[in-house]
Amino acid sequence: MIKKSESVLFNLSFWVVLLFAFASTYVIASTTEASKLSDNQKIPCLDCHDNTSEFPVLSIFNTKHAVVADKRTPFAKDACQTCHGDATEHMKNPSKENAPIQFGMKSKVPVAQQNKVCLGCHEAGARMSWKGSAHEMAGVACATCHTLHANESKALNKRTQSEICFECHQTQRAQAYRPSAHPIVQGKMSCLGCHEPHGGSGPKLLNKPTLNETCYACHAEKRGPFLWEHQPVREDCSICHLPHGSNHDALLNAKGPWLCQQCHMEQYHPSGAYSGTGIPPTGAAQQLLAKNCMNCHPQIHGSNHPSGARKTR
Amino acid sequence: MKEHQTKDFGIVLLTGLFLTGSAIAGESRFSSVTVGGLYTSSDSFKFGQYTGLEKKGGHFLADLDAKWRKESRYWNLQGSNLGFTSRNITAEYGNQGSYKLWVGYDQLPRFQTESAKTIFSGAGGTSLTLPAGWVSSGTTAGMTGLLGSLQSVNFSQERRRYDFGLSKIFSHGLDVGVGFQRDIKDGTKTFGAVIGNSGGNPRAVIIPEPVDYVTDQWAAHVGYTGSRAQARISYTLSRFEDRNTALTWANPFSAISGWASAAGYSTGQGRVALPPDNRAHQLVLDIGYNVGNATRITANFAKGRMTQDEDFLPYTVNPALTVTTPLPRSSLDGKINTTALMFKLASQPSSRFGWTTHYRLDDRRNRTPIAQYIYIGGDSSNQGSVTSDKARTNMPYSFRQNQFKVEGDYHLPFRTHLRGSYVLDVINRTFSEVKRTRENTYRLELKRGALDIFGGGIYAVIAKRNGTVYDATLPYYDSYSPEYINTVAANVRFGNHPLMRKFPFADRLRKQLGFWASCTPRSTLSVQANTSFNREDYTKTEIGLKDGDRSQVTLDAIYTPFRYVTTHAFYTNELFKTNQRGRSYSGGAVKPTQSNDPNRNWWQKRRDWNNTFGVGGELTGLRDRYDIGVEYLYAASRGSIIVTTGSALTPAAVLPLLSSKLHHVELYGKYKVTEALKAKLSYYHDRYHSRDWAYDNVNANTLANVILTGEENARYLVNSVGLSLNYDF
Repeated sequence: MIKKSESVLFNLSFWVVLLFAFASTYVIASTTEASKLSDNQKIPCLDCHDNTSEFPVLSIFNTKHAVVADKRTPFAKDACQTCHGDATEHMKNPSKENAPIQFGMKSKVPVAQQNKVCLGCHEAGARMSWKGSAHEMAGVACATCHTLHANESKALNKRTQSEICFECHQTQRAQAYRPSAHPIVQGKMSCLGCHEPHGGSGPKLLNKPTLNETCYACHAEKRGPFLWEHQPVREDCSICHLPHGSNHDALLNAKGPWLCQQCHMEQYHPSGAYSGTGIPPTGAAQQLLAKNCMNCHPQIHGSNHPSGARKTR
Repeated sequence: MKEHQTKDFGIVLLTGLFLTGSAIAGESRFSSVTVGGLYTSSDSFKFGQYTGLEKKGGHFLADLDAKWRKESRYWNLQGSNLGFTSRNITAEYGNQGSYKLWVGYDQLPRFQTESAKTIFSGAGGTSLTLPAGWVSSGTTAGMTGLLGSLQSVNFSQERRRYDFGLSKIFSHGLDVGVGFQRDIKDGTKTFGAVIGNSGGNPRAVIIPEPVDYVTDQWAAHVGYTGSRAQARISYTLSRFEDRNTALTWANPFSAISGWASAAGYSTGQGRVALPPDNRAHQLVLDIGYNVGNATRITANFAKGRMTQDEDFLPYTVNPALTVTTPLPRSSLDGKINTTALMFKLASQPSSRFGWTTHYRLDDRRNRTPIAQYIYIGGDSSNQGSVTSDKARTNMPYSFRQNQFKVEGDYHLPFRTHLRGSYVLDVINRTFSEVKRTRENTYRLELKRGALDIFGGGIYAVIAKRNGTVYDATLPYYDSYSPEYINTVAANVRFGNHPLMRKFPFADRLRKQLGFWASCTPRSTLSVQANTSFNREDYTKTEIGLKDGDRSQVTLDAIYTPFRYVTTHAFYTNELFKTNQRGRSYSGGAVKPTQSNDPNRNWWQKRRDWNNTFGVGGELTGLRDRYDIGVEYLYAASRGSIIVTTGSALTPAAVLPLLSSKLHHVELYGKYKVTEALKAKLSYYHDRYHSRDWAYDNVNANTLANVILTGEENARYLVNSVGLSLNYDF
């Protein structure tokens, strides 16, 4: 157990580190001047493609891709042509027909060819499992989600990431508005809190090797192991819960006591037939009202009490 | 919670101002700061559930996005909801291509209910006491002071996350990183606290459970990036600490039949174990390798261990109760070894054909020691013997899943694809009614490019799951003592009904059919529609979940009639249906006949409907100064539960519908005062109404044997007006 005093010490230490970090940047920022934009005039593409063209491009200079000092970036190499390919013919005779590689789902360039450009630099880390992943097999282009010629990328902002996912996963968008849901529409959590869209090692593109480990990342108190385990809890949280949103409390996929009765049909009250006879004004059944089964069996995720075999302790 | 909020709020403000100053000094680009106020018209926990706007009144609006860059060096500071208790602030400093440091703070409230009441003092602590002069009784009807003793208790929690880390890129494609994250979660939540055991003598009270958790996570990785091969090895340690070990409450019920007299009021107490401290370690190795230009091999290997060894509480908190058999051990020494492996081979041998195959292993070996515990039912009676039904052996469940998948994608003419896949899923379980299940899943899809003028697709899935022999009595024999089982008549030696088939591993036939279409006649208009239908049949289930359907229809449209006007609309309808069957039976002498009597069957039909509709539009750049937007969202759910009973049971009565309705309206206008300064005026109307018979007209004393909180279903009407200024610098 952690003592309260230790926690206070931690909090203070954290904020001291935070302030120190900010102070450092303050000093640096105060004594240096921000650089100007890269020398655009050296890039012939910009003679035609500027912010007045059909697809404004100049915002690329506000992104990491245009940092020349980082030798890994496109602009440290052949600028626009690093990604868009050789534009010699296009510059001699500008037309859409001989345009170099264009990105996005509307491009005539095959998705695999588009993505190959991105993966040329970004195949490590989270993208390591991209090939053969569900999104890759579904023909999703990197540029479907990522916007490169923009000051801000929705895909890289936790508050807006889910908007991108919901463009295709529209059922999940609706589920996010259910009475019981994770705080996605409030912007406090994004789909990427659980999923790795580039192809994680877990099922359903989860960012942990298993579903339960994904849930434990925020709900570590349910990790156990416990003395008295509840089998579905140990196996798969989604046996009882709908993580994208539910009509029922606690993201449950059905209302108790019937949810419990889908697996429990022991003698006496677990096997009882509960109906309108058990609610006011007709009656009052403790298996139906309030927390239903959990009025008496609260330790449904497991108990570590020696007298908790029935998940009551 | 308030103390933390005040302290953190102040510090966040301080750092925000500090950074704003530095941003101006450093001539940062593309930075902005937003300040203003928001007024909400009503109190509502549900409305402010995750935002911290649960109180009527004024709220400080503040967002910050400051950036600075010189060549490859940069820092970013982003803060959102700085004036709310749902604030977030992150700072990052680095040299692109070399190193990066970051630090972050995130606060997440969760307001559960503000209408609950409790008879106990000490909410939030680990010892709950009854009011002086408490009048106890065997049922709530006799507790004459119950309603008068109720006092409000807010059930809410708050999570505060601190994190920081560092990553460094070296030459030759190597990179390393370390990170730390601390989650602190505190508050209270409801807990069903029971005294007594089954057999007609439990008495319960809903009490406030203290939440005081700290979860630390340390992570480190080393990565390699090459043109053909990439690798990453990472280690994570997660440590969960609960500052409380147990929660004790005074028993408000008088001793009843089946309890020891000392278990009742005023000497009796109840005690539950709160979540025990635990640890989890995991080592992960990810490797990717390109074989030529067309093929890639990926392997992910994760080896982990979850442990828990907190000291056991004694069998009972009541010293007057006799304990004759000691605990078999002082702590659990719980241990689960986990292994996860995924091996994937993906190839695109031609521009027309691609395929992938993968193998997944998910192995969780529960090495927790097995022992027999003779438990005391709800701190209410003396300990029994090994021949009682309270002599139980723990069952550390293990699980092993082997999954093999192969998938192909063939490009037909006219940007049409034919895709097919096959999955073999084999799961082995211990202490389970079924030792092994095996499921074969086939999927076929034909689709045309989503963003062609006309796109569309159709897919079908069929999956069949079979298991080895289903032995419903197996957990009974694994958990109850042989000495007890020998006292039970041979024809009723079962816990769960022998015909019960638990749906997670019952034989199942699953079918799915889906269709989608899109139309993009011009770049300004896009319309999509999709529908799917899922059916699950538990083919050999007599008792339990029999079948389930899920169907949904979605329509989605985006229209841009003019250059500066965008509009959108969507609608989703989703319907869940399940049918399950039960059989009501008692124990004792009637158990053999009742458990075999089909006239004691009951059936439950569940229908959950959901409708979600949204429409909105935005006009930007009007006269180069004005932006105007409007959004409307409607989300409604309706649930029907119909129970019918066999001829030997009491006829069932109708249950009212469960329902919820949310209306959200948002109007805003932005005015560009100067190129850098914008003003925004917003209005929000939020109305929510829900009905749930589990809480409607249910008071603290409605149940005879359970003291409830009397909480009400969430309903609110909140109007909010916000005014803010946004400055770009």
